[in-house]
Amino acid sequence: MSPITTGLALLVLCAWIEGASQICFKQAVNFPRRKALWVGIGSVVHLAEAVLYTVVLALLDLSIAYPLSGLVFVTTACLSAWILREVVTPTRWIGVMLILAGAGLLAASA
Amino acid sequence: MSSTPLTRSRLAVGLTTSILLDTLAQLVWKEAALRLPPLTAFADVVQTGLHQPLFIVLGLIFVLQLLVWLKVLEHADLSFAQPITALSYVAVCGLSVLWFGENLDARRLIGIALVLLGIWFVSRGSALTISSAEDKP
Repeated sequence: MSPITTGLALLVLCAWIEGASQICFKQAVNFPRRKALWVGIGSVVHLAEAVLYTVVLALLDLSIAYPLSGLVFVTTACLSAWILREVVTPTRWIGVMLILAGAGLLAASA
Repeated sequence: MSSTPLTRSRLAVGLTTSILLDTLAQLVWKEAALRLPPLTAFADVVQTGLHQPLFIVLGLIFVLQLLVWLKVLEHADLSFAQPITALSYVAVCGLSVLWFGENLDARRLIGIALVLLGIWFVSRGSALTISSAEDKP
């Protein structure tokens, strides 16, 4: 695989991992009695993502990698609805999709 | 759930701080990555990263970011607060042009416009759809 293909594949993986870490942080607030546990798990997951993202940044320009990480808003919205049972309203979905599209355009012009 | 003006303004301050820290983190991260030697193995990334002071700075920014973020999540849904932080795209894009000399063309400007429109849509709804206080003592 070319560095760019590898970088893009790792970036998608990063988006799901980061979404998962965000779920942990929200759980820490939702369940204050287990706050430390959730923050701990979320931090470890986030750290793993950070190392992986560093690899991505070594392969891709920040101007490509960072806007494409807009995928994280989609993965987090999905996980928020499924796991946290948040009401992701149509307005929120439209917003998330516009952000994804905008981020995609930012990446495509690199 | 309705939110008081005080909660709303705390949320705004929290989100703004998150966005600023996020922007700073991205720029420091790229700067740190640029200083890494050519990488051959995954282990090298971790090894070299630990010796680069900028990664320590990055770590401190992350800790601060986490503390602010947990405060934000006390007052808002994750699916509300997180998309708002996309504002840092706009900030990072602008600063990448200034700091790293990256290009800013018409397509990117449209991208920025769409991101801003998306954030506007997300900010229309209420910040909290479910009670986050159910497990509080």
